[in-house]
Amino acid sequence: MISILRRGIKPEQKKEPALNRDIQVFTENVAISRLIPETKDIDSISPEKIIEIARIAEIADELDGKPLWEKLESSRGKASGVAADALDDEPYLSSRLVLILQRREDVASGLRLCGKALGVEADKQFAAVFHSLIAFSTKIPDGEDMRIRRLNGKYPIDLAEREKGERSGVLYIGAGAMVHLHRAVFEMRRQTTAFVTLAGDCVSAPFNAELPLGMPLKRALEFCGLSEEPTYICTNGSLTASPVLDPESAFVEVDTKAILAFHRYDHAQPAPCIGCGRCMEVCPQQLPVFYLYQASLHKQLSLLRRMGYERCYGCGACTYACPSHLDLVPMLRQGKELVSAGLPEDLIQQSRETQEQPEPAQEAEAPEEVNAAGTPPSEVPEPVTVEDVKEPVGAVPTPESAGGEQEPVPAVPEEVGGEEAEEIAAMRETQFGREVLSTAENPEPEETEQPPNKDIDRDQMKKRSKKRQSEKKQSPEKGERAASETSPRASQKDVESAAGAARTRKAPARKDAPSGGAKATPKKAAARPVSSRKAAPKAPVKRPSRGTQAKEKQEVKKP
Amino acid sequence: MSSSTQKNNLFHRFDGVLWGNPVLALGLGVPFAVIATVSMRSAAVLAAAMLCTAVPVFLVASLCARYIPQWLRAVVYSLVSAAALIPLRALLFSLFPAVFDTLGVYYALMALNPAVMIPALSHRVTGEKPGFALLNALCYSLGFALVLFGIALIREPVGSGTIWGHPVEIPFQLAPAQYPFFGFILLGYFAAVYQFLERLFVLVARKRGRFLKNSKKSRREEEKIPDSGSQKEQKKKLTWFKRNQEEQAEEQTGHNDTEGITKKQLDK
Amino acid sequence: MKEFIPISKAHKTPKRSLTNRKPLILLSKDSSNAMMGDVVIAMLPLLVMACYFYGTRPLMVALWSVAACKLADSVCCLIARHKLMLGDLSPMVTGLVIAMLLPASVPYYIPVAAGLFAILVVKQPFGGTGNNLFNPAAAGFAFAAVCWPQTIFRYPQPMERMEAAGPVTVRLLEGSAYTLKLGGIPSIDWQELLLGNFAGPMGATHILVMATCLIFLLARKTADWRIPLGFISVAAVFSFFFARIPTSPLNSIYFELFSGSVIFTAIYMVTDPVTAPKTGWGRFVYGGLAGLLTMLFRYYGGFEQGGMFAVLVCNALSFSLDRCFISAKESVRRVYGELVNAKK
Repeated sequence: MISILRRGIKPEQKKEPALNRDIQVFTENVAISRLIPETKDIDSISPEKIIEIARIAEIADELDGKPLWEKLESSRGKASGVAADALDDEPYLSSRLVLILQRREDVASGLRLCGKALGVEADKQFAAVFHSLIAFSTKIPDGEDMRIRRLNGKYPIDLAEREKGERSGVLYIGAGAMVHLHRAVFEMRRQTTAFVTLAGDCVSAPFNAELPLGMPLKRALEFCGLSEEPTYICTNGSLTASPVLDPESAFVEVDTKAILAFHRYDHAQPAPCIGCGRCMEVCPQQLPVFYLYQASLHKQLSLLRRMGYERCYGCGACTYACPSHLDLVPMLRQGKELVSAGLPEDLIQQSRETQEQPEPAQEAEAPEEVNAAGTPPSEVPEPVTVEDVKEPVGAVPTPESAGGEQEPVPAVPEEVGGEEAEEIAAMRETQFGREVLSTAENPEPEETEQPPNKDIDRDQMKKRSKKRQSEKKQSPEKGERAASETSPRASQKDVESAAGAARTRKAPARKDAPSGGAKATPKKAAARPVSSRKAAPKAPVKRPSRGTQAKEKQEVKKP
Repeated sequence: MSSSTQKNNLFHRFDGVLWGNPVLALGLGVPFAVIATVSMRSAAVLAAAMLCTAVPVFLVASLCARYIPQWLRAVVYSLVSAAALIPLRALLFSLFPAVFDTLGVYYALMALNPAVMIPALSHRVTGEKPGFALLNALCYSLGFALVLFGIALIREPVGSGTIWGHPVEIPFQLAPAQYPFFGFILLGYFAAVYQFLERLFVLVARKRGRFLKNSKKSRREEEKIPDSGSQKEQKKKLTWFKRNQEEQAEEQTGHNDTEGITKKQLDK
Repeated sequence: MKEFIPISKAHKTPKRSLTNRKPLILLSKDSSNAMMGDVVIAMLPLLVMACYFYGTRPLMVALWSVAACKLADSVCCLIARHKLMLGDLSPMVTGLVIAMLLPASVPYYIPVAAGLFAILVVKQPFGGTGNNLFNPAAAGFAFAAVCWPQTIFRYPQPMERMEAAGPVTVRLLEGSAYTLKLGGIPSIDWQELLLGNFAGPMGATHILVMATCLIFLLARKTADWRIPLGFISVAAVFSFFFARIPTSPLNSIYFELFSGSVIFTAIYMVTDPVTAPKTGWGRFVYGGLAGLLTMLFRYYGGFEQGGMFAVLVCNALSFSLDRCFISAKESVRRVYGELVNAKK
């Protein structure tokens, strides 16, 4: 009776044809693992061995995609019970329930194995089955080999049960994982498949299948035979569905429980939210969904924080209940992300912190230069130092932009690690966003113009970059001379104009090795943002100059 | 908006009439716009009161603000406007005796009119030249008067069937137009129409590139004029400094131009 | 708000491309427009009864009101560049509610003016359907009450049928609420009172029919049961304890609730989902507060009816009520969580 009062929704289950059909196996190939020892009998292996086998066989729990061995390992001795989760409370899904019907011995065996691994007695092991008020006409008998516990209630029942289970220590593991565990222990098979329900409007004969992991969804749908071209494909559930827009690039994964394809073109028309409050009535977490939705929509973070945004786990009951057919779950998720990302001040604080601790390669040089300049250490380490770091690693010269480019592409070579370079680039972006008077040691002006400075005309930038190229084409000695000429010029190009301040301060030091400073320009520009990798490399010109520049750099840094 | 920009920018010189209207754009003096617009005469009285308080207050603000401590300024301005209102009342009472019954306490409240106080306390007026302050006073008063008259022009005929006290034939009458709620609603609509027109104007003017603070011309002018405030100062110094060097660079790169061009063409 | 596309375009959606939008088969079969449709359906019997009592004129009043609301709504949608939803039924609801509260003999410009006010001043400037802060129908009727008090509160006698066109020549009476305000007891039989056979607002006198409609709305879950329950119970308790007419308290409840527009307000005006609070407890308090304020306005206000003003005041409070109960729940949950953790 309590189930009537419990919050939730009661959608039609629609499991029927699929549930009564046999599981179709896509391929008879099995993957035997040589590392798993042969076992005849449950009594002959130890719990640790079971967990080891689960690890070798790469079995994952399809409920959340986590590796089974981790779950077993972490709950060893602490679990007071273990359950094979065959709840399948969403419409259309029946891939776990069908295992209880058709692979019952495997599930029972897997359950016993899990029980042994966790140290749980036989009477505390059971399979959980959803017995909704809208009963489906399949009988699942309680048996000697496996106890069945029927859970009543509304969708979403699994979380409520699991929460209760967690509080009382029962570990819920998917029935599919049980089957795979059985196979791993007794047949030495690795997990290479997942049990998936193929259903939906477009599937004329829905059924459950055992599909290989990594199979493209398109192939899976062809396997089941579509009667119409679908307009909506989703995986992992119907109410908590993740829509798939490109079935060729989406694959069957360990936590794929269903692939559903619908062709009904009467898609939900978005209507305005009329504030009926049904979303709040059905939310199993008793969240104020209406307000969370509005706050996420209008990005009111303070409101979100006060209302328990973190407790939403995406069950989709609110989306189902909404009469305006609003997509509530994605918006709530967005709100959650907004709050976790923090307010802009937090971001700035974070970026400041990352800049205070520069990357390890730069640490040695950055503080020195920064302190030498008498600037606060909270500023960004010089891009110049980054270039030095990049120097030995990435010997491929960074391309210099063509004359017509605004942002000379200092395409950091791939060997360096695109991600690292991008991180650095991103760091630099934040640096550029800073106040004009950042007192960072920024001696070398750049050719790039990252937030476009209003003061500097684009034409002048072009001229400057052309100039630099022409300089670089000259011989190194000429380059030095030209560089000394260009050093005052070069500094202008500093987008932040902090260079001006830094330059004036550093002027005496600079004069000692002007060429070094100037020559560092192309390097700096070279290691600059990766976003526009357009220009062609000009290796021969740069290498020698770079080498000299590196040496001169070091001279500069140790005044 | 700095005065320098305003001086440079023809349009912004007359801020307060249409562009930064105190009632519709800044939302100051709303009670007066609602209560006094029951009839055109009361609107006229309050507009006159606004003018007679704004001029002395703005002049005081522009000339004597330095000598008055910050916290005392509002008090002084209110006293000045109250002092200005007293002789005005005598004058207006002889012209429109009946209006003061309708206005009640709102005439005296004009001594604290936010449409006068807020600009007077802002940097727009404080410490600026008296001529400019006078112009500001006139502009704000004119803007205020326009709004009051505009609303009264609708409320009086609809509410009591008269314009300036003379009975007029109106197809329909709504006695509750005299109630404040109607005034608020009308004011809301006025503000909405005003904002729509303002946005339209901005759109059009931006296309022409003139009459706007953010236009290139005014921006460059701003940068050349040294501004108060340390950050802004340094910002501008550096830009000027950079600009200097850009100019030097340009001179020096004159001979490289041809090369640059060919390269550009090649790359393209 | 700007996402809705007109129904005509829906069928042009290509069937061949994959979309992100869930098909209706995965969603509940409700629709917000259908909820509005339920309210319209629930008011049609009242219109039928009004036509039975007063001739064809009530139909014209309703038509004028609905047409004004719908037209104003559509024009505003075009101005604000929302997509026009011609099938949107919410302005119809507004128009019908306004019409039901007016006497059948009302000149046509009044429902039109009230409807225009409701849409152009109260609903659309705040964002249109789903975004209004105040109940537009209540505000429209309040506007009419303030502007034309004499005309609004004079009702024709039922069974004196009026024509849709032409001048109104029937005798107009004061309503029973006016009698109550004066301290008198309306001389209406209890059967007549339940059936609506007495002078009153053209749609708000038929108590039995309204009760049936209430059951319909509750069954369809269009109206939350907490709001009318709170409203009527508090109004009843108030009139029980503070009767202003010299009869027994039970009689006082009976007369107070069935005169004026108390029941009508409880069923159609307070239950408007957009303006009501969304939390369960909030709805109780909201209904109760509205009931209390209605009775206070009736007793001490300038007009004989107070429902519309009470609804407007409570609309201003609905977010605060929600926030209050949400924070209360959150703190209770936090405290409970801490207790549970402490036990562990």
